[in-house]
Amino acid sequence: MKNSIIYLFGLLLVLYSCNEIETPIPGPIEVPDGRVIMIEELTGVSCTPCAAASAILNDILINADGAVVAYGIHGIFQSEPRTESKYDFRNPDAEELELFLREFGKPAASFNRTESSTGSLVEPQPASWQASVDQELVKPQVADIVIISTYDEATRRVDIDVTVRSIESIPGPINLVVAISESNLIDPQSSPSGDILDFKHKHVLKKLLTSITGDPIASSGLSSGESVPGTYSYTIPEEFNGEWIPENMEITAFITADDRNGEIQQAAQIHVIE
Amino acid sequence: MIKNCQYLLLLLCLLSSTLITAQEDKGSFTGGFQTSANVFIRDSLIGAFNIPQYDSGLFGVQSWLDLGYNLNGFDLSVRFDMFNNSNLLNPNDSYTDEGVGRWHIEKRMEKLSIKIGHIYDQIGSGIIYRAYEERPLLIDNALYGGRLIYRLSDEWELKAFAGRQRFLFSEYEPTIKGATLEGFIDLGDPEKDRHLTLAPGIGMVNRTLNQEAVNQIGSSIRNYVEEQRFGLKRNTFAYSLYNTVHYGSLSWYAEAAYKSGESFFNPFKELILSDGSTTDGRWVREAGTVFYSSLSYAGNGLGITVEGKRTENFEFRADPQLTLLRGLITYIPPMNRNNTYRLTARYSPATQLLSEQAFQVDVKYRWNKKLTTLVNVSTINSLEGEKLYREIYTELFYKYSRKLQLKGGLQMVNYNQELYEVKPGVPLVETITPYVDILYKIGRKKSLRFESQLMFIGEDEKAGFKQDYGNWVFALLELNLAPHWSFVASDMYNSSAGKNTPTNADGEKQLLHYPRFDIYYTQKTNRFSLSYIKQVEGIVCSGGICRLEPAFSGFNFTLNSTF
Repeated sequence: MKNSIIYLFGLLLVLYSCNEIETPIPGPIEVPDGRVIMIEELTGVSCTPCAAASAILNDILINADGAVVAYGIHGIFQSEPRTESKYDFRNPDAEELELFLREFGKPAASFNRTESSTGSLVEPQPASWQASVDQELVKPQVADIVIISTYDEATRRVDIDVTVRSIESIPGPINLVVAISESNLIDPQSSPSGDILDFKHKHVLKKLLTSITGDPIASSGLSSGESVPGTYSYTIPEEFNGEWIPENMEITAFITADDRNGEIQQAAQIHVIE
Repeated sequence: MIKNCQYLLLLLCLLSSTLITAQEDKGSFTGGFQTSANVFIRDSLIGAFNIPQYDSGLFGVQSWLDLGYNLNGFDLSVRFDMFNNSNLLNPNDSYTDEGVGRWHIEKRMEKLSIKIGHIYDQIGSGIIYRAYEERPLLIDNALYGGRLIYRLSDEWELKAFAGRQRFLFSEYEPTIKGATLEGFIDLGDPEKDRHLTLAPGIGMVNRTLNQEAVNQIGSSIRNYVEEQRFGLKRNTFAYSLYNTVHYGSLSWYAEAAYKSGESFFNPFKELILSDGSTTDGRWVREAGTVFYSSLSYAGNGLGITVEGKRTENFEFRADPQLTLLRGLITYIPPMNRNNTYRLTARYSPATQLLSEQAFQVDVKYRWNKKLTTLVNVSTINSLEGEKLYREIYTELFYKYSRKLQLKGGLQMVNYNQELYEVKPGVPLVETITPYVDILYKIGRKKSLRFESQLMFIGEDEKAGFKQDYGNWVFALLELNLAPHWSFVASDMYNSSAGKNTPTNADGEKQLLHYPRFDIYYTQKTNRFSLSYIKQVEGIVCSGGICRLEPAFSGFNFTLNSTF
């Protein structure tokens, strides 16, 4: 009798796990024309899993075809240079941003500064970054950002004109963040198989021209069709050891809305020299 | 908050109705309160800075109040949780929230038990399912749902449960269902002392992902090359077969667990990117297994335990996208000694869920009333043969007289810090730690205890320093004045610089002291403590579940009370 019960129970368990019909992999999502989202990547040259995360981020950028822009924040944790490093990517703005976005570990990334269900501003699992991108991309575009860069080779000064135009009304204070980053920096990156000496670092955050939450550009919101300008300038330090090359540098601009939990509403990125 | 109030009202209504209907039996009311409050004092030299508590919060507290009432087979329980500027959820951040953290109502009848609310439980040793609470790591993954237990006979019991896993004050979306059949078979002769008994069990757990989670995983693999893509399933099944055999002084536990193919992120698998290049880590759909066994003997002053475990692809969480300590359904027993001394516990291995093969032997022998010795050996590798952890631990306990007891021994550890603490390029940490513990009873109510450990660590030739933080010296003096007071003073000193030893402004290594002073006061069932703590960064583990805690500097107050 007891054996029968065990056999019956076992049979029920096996039957219960009959084959399930597979869910098809979702196809590419429909991205509203002009919608651009911002990824702020928390990374570091001494962060072993960050090498793979950077590769995943790069893949996301390639597949997004301009709908996603990013910079990499080499702040405090695991950001100290490797023994063979030529560069030290750490800077005060990156440190401040890392503390603002803070997470238990790296790699991690923030997607338009939206809070997850656990209250965190970042997603720590690179394997889930594409899902976070998709969630943001399907939202309607509420603004458009145009950046114009004028670079003076003699003085190495770049003048940046940013125009924010709302597509629909955005309530509450609106802030503009402008950042400078640099790509194609060949320097060591820690990885599970040891240091990758010729790792190509992309979109390394070099300087914020505003506060991390942005300079106020509209204190009482933007109505549909309204435009606001922002003007900034930055003098690029002298080239040294393959760093600070204007052709490799990018300007990123995005707006945040206080009444929408400080979430990024729209972003844009161009090269200093197009 | 409204939801919380509803729970409380429901419990109060049930409580009052139970009291009214059973006026003669007053039942029993129990409770417990635990609080831990920290005052954070910034100390940038030891790394106690750059988290909100040191920069601006300065004070953090977490508290739990448990209340339970038992009457006529009814068991009602509710727990209030409070986190105020707490660093328990994330040691690098501040967390504030409060509310009803747990409640349950249970009715036990002759053959049937019904329970709803937050339920702690496990199947077998917990490999396919364990819902439990571990406050030091803020793990509380109770099942929020219902459970039925039906006693088929005195020896056999059937259990089924369903619900969702709790996380803080809400639940993860995926649903969890499970069932077990457990029994007890006595094959011995009641007339004889030595019985052969069996305690077999079979269990099953099913987790069904919500559509959103499936879509998110789908988004992640959408851009994979064709050969690395796979179909998605919402259901995962895990089965476990386990049995305990007792015969005289021998006890043998064995468990085999299987998990059906499910999507999970494997950081060791190669991912082919859009441009044809590759990187580490991708989503896969693979089945998993765990085999675990423990054989122990106790008798004639001898105690031997031999354990073995093999784990492959057993990452099993409420949602496969969760990481670190979050959403764990599985609990795989650790295969190393649970050390308690400050330095012998410094390097503890976290249980690996994807690839681990481990063995442990523990032999204890009581030579006479005065002398007991212990040897523990544990070895942990990955399935690919990578060395993860080795420990040899010896202990000698000598009771010199009623007043004087001595304990001492030696611990030798090899610890794969690169894997366990994700520290790139560091060598395998090698330590040798002798220790001594002396207890002297001054009188009937007074005792003095002294313990000390010295940790000698290997060289990091690449860095040109000793490994990690270098060598350590630890000493502790404890004065107990029963029944109320206890005073403890200790210091951990970084006696020889290592690669991670802090440096001063001139770049010179600073050999620092990490002192600690504690005062404990016990009044009946209430225990208060006040401590001043300066603590180095380190791994905190509980049952093989570990996390890296940053340095701490400040005061800590605790109260534990039961009533």
